[in-house]
Amino acid sequence: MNNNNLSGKEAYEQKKLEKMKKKGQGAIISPKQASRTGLWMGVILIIVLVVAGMAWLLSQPRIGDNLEAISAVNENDYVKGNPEAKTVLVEYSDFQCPSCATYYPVVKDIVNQAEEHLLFVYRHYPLPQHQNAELAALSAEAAGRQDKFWEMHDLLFENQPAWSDLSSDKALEVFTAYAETIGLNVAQFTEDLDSSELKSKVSSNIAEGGAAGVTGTPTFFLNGEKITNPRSFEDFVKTIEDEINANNSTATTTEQVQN
Amino acid sequence: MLTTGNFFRTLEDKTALAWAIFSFIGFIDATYLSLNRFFGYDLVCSFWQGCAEVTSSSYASMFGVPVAYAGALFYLLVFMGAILYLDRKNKNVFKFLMVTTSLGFLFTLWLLFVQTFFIEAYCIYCLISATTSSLLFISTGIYFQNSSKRLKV
Repeated sequence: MNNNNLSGKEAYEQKKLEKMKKKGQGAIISPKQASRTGLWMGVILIIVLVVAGMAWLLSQPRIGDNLEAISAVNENDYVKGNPEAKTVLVEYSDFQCPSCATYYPVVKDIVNQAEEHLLFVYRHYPLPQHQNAELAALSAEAAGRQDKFWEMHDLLFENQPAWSDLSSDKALEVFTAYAETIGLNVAQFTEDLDSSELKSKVSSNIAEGGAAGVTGTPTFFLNGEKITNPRSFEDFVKTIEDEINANNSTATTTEQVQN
Repeated sequence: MLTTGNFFRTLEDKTALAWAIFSFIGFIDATYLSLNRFFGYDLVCSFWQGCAEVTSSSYASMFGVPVAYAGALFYLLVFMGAILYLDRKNKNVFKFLMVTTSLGFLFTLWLLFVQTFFIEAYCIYCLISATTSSLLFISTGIYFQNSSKRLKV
């Protein structure tokens, strides 16, 4: 090709075209350039979508539609604190769950400290992979029939590592020994462990919890609202304290208005 | 013109493609674990046995950095690197990824060792990550084996 007959600009474009042809590209707007930009935009978009999508899914409260059932304390519930309190903390828990055992002293502390302003409800949510969790829940219920639910609850959490890995038979022996320690009528305790009424109470706790969006333990509901992401125990305690303070200040204001 | 026909022709391209796929799966897994940690869900026992034990153990962080975060960054680095190689065909990027995937595999072996002997529990998400990290290393291994064969011939 004779480049002498072309103007400067035409010669430049001709050169560029030939250069691209050498590289195996035919068009003036480089498809490689276009697909490269597209490629990186696509990659970044996919990454952002993956992270944002998962964050969105995880941040969903996962609460079902029966929140009223969660707040409503019924006569079968074991409760601690003030039954008249405006702040109700419901825990769905599993005696064999290590995280629940870690939360146990924290919850106990806050319930003791805020006794007058808080009502704490313990409900069962034994996870299927914890082989002794259901028996532990039944043991606490059986102790509850002799008015010693909380004593058994404390013993089970405090000694969790001692019975977690035992076979069901051995765990039963341990739980029976605990029953003796807290002064239960052991024969009655053993009989109650087999009670279908107690078994159905535990299963209905699980069913209610599942319907309310409990997927793991411990799950806490503060006045019907799931405490979703406590980053630390301090955060968890603060959430509860803030709720108590908010409810108390509303109560005080109402009283002042009435007066 | 870029077409898939010649895009993944060379052994390097195929290796980089394998790295991109496996690291992407690993990235999803590690991101899930990281977000769980970020949202504080690692303080919860869930249906997956062992996860609470593993992710709340002292081994879940190294030098103050949560292992889940480091894992997500590792997979992101390999994924971006693999795409960068497929785009630019830069040999240094390829070599860097060979080293990174091998180091990642060594770290995986350490984590498996910790789960087996120290924590004595496995977490399903950690095992998925162990699998993807092993697959990344296997891809590197296959490349290494074939490329040395090629050199001998």
